[in-house]
Amino acid sequence: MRRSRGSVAIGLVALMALTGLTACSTTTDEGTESDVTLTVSRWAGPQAEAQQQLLDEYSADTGVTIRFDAIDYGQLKQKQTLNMSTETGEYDLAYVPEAWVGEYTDAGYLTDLSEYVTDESLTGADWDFADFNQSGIDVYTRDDSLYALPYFVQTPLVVFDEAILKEAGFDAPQSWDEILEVAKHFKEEGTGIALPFRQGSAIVNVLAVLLAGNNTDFFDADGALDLTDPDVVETVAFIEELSQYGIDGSNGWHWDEVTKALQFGQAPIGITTSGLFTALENADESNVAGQLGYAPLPYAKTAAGLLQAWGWAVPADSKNPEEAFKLGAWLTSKAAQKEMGTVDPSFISFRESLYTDPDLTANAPWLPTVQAALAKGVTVPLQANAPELLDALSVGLSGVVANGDDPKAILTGIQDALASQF
Amino acid sequence: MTHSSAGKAITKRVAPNYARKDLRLAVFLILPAALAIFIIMIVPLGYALVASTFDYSLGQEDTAVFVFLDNYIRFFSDPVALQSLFNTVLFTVLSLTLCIGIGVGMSVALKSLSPRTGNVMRAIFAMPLLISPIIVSLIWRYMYDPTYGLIYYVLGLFGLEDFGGLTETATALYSIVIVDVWHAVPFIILVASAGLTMIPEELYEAARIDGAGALRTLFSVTIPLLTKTLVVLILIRGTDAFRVFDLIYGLTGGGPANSTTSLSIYAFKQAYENNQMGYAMAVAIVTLIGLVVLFGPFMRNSARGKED
Repeated sequence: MRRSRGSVAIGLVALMALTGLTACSTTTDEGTESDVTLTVSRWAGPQAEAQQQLLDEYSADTGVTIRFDAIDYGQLKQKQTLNMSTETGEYDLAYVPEAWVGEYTDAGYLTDLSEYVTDESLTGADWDFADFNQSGIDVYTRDDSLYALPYFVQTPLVVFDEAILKEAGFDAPQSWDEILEVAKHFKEEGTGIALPFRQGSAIVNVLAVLLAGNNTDFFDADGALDLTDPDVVETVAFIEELSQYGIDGSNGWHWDEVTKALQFGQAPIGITTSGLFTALENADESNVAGQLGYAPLPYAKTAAGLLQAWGWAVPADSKNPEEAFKLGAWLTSKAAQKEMGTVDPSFISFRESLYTDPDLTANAPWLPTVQAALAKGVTVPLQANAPELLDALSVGLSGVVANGDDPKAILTGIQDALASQF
Repeated sequence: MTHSSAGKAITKRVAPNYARKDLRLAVFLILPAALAIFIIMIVPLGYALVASTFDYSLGQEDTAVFVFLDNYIRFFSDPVALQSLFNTVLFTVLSLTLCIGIGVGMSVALKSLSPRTGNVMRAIFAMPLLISPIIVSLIWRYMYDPTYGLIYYVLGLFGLEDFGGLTETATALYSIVIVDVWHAVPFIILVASAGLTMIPEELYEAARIDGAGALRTLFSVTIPLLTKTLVVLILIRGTDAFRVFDLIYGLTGGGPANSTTSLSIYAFKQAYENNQMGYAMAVAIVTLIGLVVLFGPFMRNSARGKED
């Protein structure tokens, strides 16, 4: 009896131990540990929903549990900041735009990924770091350290009806003079160019690209604000002249109104942002699907594009930094990025090889143009006190296009008011 | 209880027991509501007042710097802030005047119709009230569009297609006032119509017998007897107009060139675009002070009935 009781006890203990081990760690076919849970922070919306599907695939492949915290964009920065500043360890992977990365790195919120990107055990063999657009890498690099993997980009382009332009005797406009000529022609015909010149971020984004295309910038070589530079004044004067040929009401339009005007064929040419291009090429929603051409914003010296970027960063307080980086690397792999681009044609990655992928360009014909524009990708000012400058510029530019205010006077006023802050 | 002092009998009235018990019961019953008001209104107001004396960004409260009244000094020396104050006052005065004038006028006109017709017309005129301000702004944004909009189509019929509308600084604010009046007049009509029903018909009969015309009747009978209602309408509509945000944000975002930026929009931009939460709180407190100064007398007046 005593012996049998002992045997049962030993058997039970063995069974419990075996069960416990099994519960703690199940292995997949690939033998990957899956006792890891990663929490991903990003903004909610259609892109997030498409991404959820990819994350489910990753979970199925690796056994890693992923908690997806997709919230309203308006709350995203506050929630990320709150968690990272108090080191809750809540987030393992954070979706970060180029505008926030400076603030986050200054505060020490993010992990330096420089060593991770060269570790094949984390990235996988075919990851190909060299395939990333260099502008995208630069925007997430601080003091020679990489703090996020560039993932998604938006940039404004010129969109035009190829047939209408050809009929009028025009090719795709590239230079300032060419686009002025085209815009003037159509204005005289009764339409004009659709422009996002409402007081707000869009007109400042256009200015940033035009400045880069004129080989100038908001700041001089020493980093001081220099809005009275003759090339900057010349660029704003170009904006004023272009606005004269804007389609009626353009001075009050944002990106969506410009896109609608193009989509319904009311504007033969316009400037809008790539995030809205899908509607233009959707045959069910657009009157001009398949008829459109795309070009970088007109330039005085060189084509340029805007880096409105989003990247994946690993918070410094993440409890699983390597696993988080592996997820980020997987999301930014060519295969995953191609899948996102297939599901959502307006999704543009930083992968150079994907800009000319025929599977993607079939539904996103603007990709090669984006690649050309992002060869010189720039951002709007990203300093901590930049919002005040951007607001002043949007107001000033609005006065230039709506009232015909003198560009030099406007820029001088902003320079005098804000130069001491930069 | 009676006692005497220097030959004069002074009677001190003591509340009876049941009255004291009623008072305690009343206080007990009011306490939850008072507590709710304190928590929901007074505490946040106190927080805003304290926060307005600091310089900090959202999410970085631990690095806040005490600046005392610097934010308020900044407000009154910032041309954009003063522009927003001017825009807000102008918008309020114009909108309020037009709303009250048109709303009361239409109420009086509807009263002269048969009850059935009046009720049908009142229901039709009340429809804009059912639409939320942000949807109103989206609708009118397209109506005001020079390329697509209905307004410009109609203006074009009269040769007025050059009207600046929302895209020129000289006309943008007035264009927004029109939208606000369109949205708010139904509320005025409904409340004023209710107020008109309280005026005895005999007074109108007496006025008719005395030979008073329509205008004389309006200014000598209707409006004086509608005063209490008008005070309430001015209070409600005026404070709404002074705090306007969603209508302007949806229509113009405060442009062009800040010509339509109101105090609320200015505060919002300072808080969430310029990351200056302390300054934004100061702007909000200035807005509150403006409301108290402009409409405080009306609030006192509206409560004056019993004392009169």
